[in-house]
Amino acid sequence: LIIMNSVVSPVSYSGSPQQQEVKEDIVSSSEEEEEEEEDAAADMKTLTSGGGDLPQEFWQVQKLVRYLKVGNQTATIIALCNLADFDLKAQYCQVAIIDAGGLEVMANLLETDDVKCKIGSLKILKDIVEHPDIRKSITKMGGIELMVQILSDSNKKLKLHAAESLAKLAKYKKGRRIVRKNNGIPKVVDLLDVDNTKVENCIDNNEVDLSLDMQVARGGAYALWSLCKSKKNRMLIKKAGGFPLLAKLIKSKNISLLIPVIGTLQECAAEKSYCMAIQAEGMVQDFVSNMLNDNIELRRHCASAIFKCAQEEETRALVKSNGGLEPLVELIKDHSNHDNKELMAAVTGALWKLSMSDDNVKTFQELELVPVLINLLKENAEGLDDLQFNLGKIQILTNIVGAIAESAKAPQNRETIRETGGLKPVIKLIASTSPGLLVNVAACIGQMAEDVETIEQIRNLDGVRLLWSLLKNPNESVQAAAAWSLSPCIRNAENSGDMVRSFVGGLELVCGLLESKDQQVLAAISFAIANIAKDKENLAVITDHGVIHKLARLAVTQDDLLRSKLAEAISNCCELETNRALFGKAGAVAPLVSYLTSVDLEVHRTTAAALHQLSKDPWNCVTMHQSGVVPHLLRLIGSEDEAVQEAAADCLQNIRKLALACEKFRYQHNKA
Amino acid sequence: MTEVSIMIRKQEKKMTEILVKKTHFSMGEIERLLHLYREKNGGETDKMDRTLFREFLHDCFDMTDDILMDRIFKYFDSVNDGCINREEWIMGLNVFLKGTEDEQIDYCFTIYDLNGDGYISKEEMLTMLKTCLVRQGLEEDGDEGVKDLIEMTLKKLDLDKDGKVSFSDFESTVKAENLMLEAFGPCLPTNRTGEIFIQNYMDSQEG
Repeated sequence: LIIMNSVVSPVSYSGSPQQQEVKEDIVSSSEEEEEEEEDAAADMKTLTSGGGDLPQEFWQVQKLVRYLKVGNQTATIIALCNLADFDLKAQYCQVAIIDAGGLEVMANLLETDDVKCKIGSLKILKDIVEHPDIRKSITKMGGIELMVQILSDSNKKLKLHAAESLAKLAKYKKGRRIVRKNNGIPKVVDLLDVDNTKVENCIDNNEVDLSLDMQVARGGAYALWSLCKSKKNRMLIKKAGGFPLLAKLIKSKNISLLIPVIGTLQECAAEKSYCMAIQAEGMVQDFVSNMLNDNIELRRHCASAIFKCAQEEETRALVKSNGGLEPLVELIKDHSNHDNKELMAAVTGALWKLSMSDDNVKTFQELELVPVLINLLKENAEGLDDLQFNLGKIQILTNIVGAIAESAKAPQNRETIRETGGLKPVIKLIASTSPGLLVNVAACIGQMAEDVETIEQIRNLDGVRLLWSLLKNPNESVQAAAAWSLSPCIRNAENSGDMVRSFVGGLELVCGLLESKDQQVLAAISFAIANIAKDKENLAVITDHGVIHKLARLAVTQDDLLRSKLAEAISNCCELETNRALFGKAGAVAPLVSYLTSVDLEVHRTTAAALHQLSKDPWNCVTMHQSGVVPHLLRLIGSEDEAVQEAAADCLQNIRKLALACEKFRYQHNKA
Repeated sequence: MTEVSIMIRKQEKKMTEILVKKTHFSMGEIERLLHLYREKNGGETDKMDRTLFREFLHDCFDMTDDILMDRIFKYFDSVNDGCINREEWIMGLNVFLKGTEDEQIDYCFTIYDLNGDGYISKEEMLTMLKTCLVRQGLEEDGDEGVKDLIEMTLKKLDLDKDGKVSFSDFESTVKAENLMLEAFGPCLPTNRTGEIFIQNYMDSQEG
C-alpha cells in the first residue's frame, strides 16, 4: 500500500499551491502491524482433524530432528541436509519440527563454532520461520540476535544465509526492532559493499547465478528491504552509509539483484531525504530505464519509486527528460496488466504525481492518457459495496482520481473528461469512506467546476450537494478539500444564490466550520464564504448565523493563506452596510492592518479591498488610522496591481475625508 | 651441515621446483612446508610413518577419528609403502589445504571408499558412522538410528539407484549441496584450523 495522499487546492489563486498530507486515521503501510495476520496456525490438532493419517514425511522429519538432538557433528550435518530436502514451506513439515522440539536445536546450533552446522541450520530456518509460531519461538529464543552476530563472521556463505533468514524475520515489527537494537543495521549495510567491477560484471542471466560476493549483496538487499519498513531503520540505513551502496548496485543488470535493491529504495523513498538523494545521484534515470524491463515485478517497483519521488518537482522533470512518461502510459494502456492490482496502484500513483507538473500534463495529453484513466476508473469503480474494505482497490481509485484531478488543470482535458462521461463515476465515489479518496474526488470536482459548461453537468449529477455534504466528514483534510472545491461551484453556477440556499442547513454548516482548529479548513471555508457573500440574500442569512463575529475572531492569524482568504470574505461581507460597523466592533480592523506587513501579494490585494470596504464606516477609519495604516496604504498606492492601487487610494480617501470632517467640526466648534 | 644434509637440501630444491608446477603452492610455501616436515619427522629421514602423521593431524587439525585418519594417511601415501615421503607430503597437503572443489570432492570420495572399489557401500557407511549418534542406552539394537539415518542418506546420494554411491553420484550431490562434502566425517581442515595452520606454518614469518 502506498502512503502519501496529497491535496492540491485546485482553485486558482495566486498563493503557492498547497501540498498537504491527508490526515489518515489508518497508519501507513510502513508501520503496519503484521502481527495480527495469523489465522490459527496449523498445529497437531488441525493436521489430524481431517481424519486422515499424517503423511509418511511427517514421521521422517521427526526422526531427523531426533538425530539432530543426539548426533555428533557429522550426524548433525547429514541430518540437516536430509531435512532440507523436505518441503519446508509445507505446514505438516513445520508442525513436525515444532512438535519434535526441533526449534531449540536449530537455535543452539547457531551458537556453536561450527560453520557447517550454522549454515545447515540457517538454510532450514529461512524456510520454516514463515510459520508464525516458529517465527515467534525463534524470536523468543534469541535467534535474531544470534543471526545478527553471525553477520560479523568473515565467512561469506554464513553471512549470506544469515541475511536471508533475517530478511524473513524482519518482515515483522518485532524482528525489525530487535535487529535495530542489536546494532544489526550497519552490519547488514556492510553486506552490500562490493567492488565496482563485480557489479559491472554481473550479467543478466538467470541460469548463471551471481558470484558469491554478489549473492551476499543480494541477501543483504533482501534484509534491508524488510528492515526499511520501519522509519527508524530507514534513517539508520542512511546513517550507516547504505545509500551510496544501493546507488552502486542499481547500476547492475542482474534482475534478481535489482528487485530487492529497487524494492528497498522505493520503500525508503517515503523519506524526503531519500527522495532528494535519489534525485541528486541521478537514480531517477535508473528507475526509468528499468521500467522498460520485461520483468513485471521490477517494473512495479520502479513505478512505485517514481510515485514516491515525484513529490519533488525536479524529479518530475527528470522522469520526463529521461523518457519515463511513455512507458508508464504504455503499462496502463495494456489491458493484461489491469488484473495486477499492485502494479496498477504503483503506475496510477506515479501518473498522479507526475501530473502535478504542467509540462507532463502536456505530454500525457499527447499520449491520450485521460480517456484511458476514465475507462480504468469505470472498471475499478464497479461494485461499490466491496469498496469499503478493499484497500487495494481504494488505493488505485485514489490514484486514478488524483491523476484525473491534476489533468483537469488543462482546459482541453476538462473537455475530454466531460465528453467521455468521466464526471459521473467520480461523483459516485463520494459515497466512499476513505479520506484519501474523498480528498482527490473533491479536488477533481473542484477543478472541473472551473468550466461553466461543466457546472450544470455536476449539478445534474447532484455533485454540488454531495460535495457540500462532505463538509460534515470527520476528517479535516476532506472538509478542506470539499470547501476549496465548493468555491468554483458557487462562483460559476447559474442562479448560484438559489442553488446555495437550496441546500438545507448548508449555510449553517459552513459558518459552523469557522470554529475548526485546522488552518486549511479555515482558509477554504473563508474563501467559500467570500463567494457565498456575493449573493445578497445569502449574505443576510450567514450574517444571521453570526459569521461576522466568527470571521473577526480569526483575524489575528499569522498564516498568510488564511489572511488572504479571510480578508476577501470580510471584504465581500461588507456589501451589507451594517456589517462594516459590526466588524469594527468585533475587533477585526486592527489585525487587518497588520496584514499589510506581510510579503504576500495576494494578502495585500484582498486586505486592501477589505480595508477599503471597512473604511466606509467612520469608526473603522479611526481604528485604522490609530493602527498606523496610512504609511502602508501610501506604499500600496504604488503597487503594480491596479486593483490594489485603487482600493488603497479609496481607503486613504475615506480616512482623509473623515480627518477633514473632524477638522471642520473642531474648527466650527472652536469658532462657536 | 653434514654432507648428507647438503645433498638433501639440493634434492629438495630440485623437488620444490617441480612441485611448484604441480601444486597450488608458491615456492616459499613449499619450502616452509618441507621445513615443517623435517620438524614433525624429528630428523633427517625421508619417511614419516603412520603414527607421526596421525599425531600431526591430531595436533594441527584436532582430528580424532581413527578410521578417517587412517584413510587420510593412505591417501597421502600414494606409493603405498607405509610412509609419507616429502613429495607425498606436499602433494597430499596440496589437496588437503588448497584443493579446488573438484579436487576436494575427489579426495573425500577416496577417503570414504574404504575398500577402494570405487563405491561407498552401506556397510562402509555404517563403519564410519557407527558412533555418530549418542546411544540412548535402552535400545536393543543400538544401531537402529544410525542405520535409519544411513538409509536416508543413501537415498539422497544414490542418484543412479544401484544401492551404492558411485563417484559421479557423490560428485553430483556435493555440487548441489556443498555441506555434503564431508558427509561421513571430517577429513579436511575446518575453516579455523586451516587458517591457523596457514598462518603459522605457511605464511612468511617476516612481518
